[in-house]
Amino acid sequence: MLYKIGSDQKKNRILQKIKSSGNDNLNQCLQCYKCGGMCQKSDKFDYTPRQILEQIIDGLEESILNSRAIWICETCNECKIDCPVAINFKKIMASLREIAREEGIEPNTEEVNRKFVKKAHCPKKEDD
Amino acid sequence: MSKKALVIGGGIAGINAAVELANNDKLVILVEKNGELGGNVNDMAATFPELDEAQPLLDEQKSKVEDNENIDIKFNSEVISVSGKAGDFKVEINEDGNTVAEEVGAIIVATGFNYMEPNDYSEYGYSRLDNVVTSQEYERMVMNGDIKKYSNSNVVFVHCVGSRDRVKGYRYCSKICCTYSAKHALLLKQEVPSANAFVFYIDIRALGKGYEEFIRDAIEDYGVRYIRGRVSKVINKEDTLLVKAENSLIGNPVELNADLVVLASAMEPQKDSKELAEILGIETDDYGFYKEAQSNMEPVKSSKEGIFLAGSCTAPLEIRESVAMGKAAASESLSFLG
Repeated sequence: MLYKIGSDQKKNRILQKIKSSGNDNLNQCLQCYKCGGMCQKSDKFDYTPRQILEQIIDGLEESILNSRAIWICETCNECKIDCPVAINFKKIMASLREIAREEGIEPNTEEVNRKFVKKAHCPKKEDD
Repeated sequence: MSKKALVIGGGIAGINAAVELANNDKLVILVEKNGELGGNVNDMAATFPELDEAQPLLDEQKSKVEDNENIDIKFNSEVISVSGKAGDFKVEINEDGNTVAEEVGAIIVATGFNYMEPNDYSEYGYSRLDNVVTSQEYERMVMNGDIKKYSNSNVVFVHCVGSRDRVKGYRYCSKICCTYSAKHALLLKQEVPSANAFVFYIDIRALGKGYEEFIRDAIEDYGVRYIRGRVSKVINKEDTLLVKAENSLIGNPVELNADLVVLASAMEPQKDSKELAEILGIETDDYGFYKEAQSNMEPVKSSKEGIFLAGSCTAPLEIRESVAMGKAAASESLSFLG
């Protein structure tokens, strides 16, 4: 889908939220594809972690919040452990789920990680 | 008796070759086709990966030649014939309209490169659209302060214009455009902090000491936005430019309004490089760059004994490597100068 890049990052709401939740190293991503290759669940994802990250930088909010990946993520943290710039993707995914819930977006996949279902009424308590 | 050396080209490689020979008490004839020394570095605002101002550095280099009594600089000159053999060449030079004959022991070719004019890239609108410039023109805009008018503007830098293009340009990679485009974006952010810099790339080739860190700093510390995808089109839209590409990292087409588009045009051989090769009797590659005697082990020897190569007349090179080749060529030519 065609999209237009805006020049004002302050208007990029999703990027600001992700940054304010303690992820300020998004622009260190090398787009090396390691995360997508190692993730146990990425074959079920519509976007691999690095693709979600790229979309956050350009503020493609609708596409990210309606993606399957944010609900399928196992929060295993393996992608951060082996990431060459230590991007905390587990935390980014948690923030994205939180934003999605605030927007009233329901998981659009059967494969939802059960942890998120249990905590659906209390999203703030999702593990950091 | 000691023989003179001939250095062809007064750019950064030729300057360093001439100075190195002069420091070894050799007499040097430096033939420069233009009215001033410095070559392509004359059009440079700053160097990378340290952002030093290029002109003071170049002035220092020029003065080493100009103040040197062992070096005879011939401006507005070119070599018209060469005969003889290593250690005993007879050379005719057209010096500002007059033919001069000289005898030299060795020849160093340091004729540099040319920035390709991207006239065939109608999709980018070069020479048709006002705010589409080459990287060489952009460097001059930095030097004369023209970039200051791009406050609160979007400036787009386009990699690989003429490089890695079998149809309209050259199959080779010009090697330094990745790093100089990062330099251009950094200069913009430093001179005009309110401007936004966008760089469109196929892949990033940071092939030198400190280059990778330099480019990453542009992205991470200065907020330069890198988008992976070759620019497809630049369209004039009312009073702005519309840049179209694909963000290949997500697979979506992308558009961006831009106020200035800078094309990183390929570094090509000088237009007359093959004619000079004929005069000298040395080999070129298919493009017209001069061919080394052996690509790994003899990087400064040409295919003919006694004729040496330095700088970007052999391939697209950065300043640092051109300087090193100039000095190496000088060193190797000493054995033919008695």
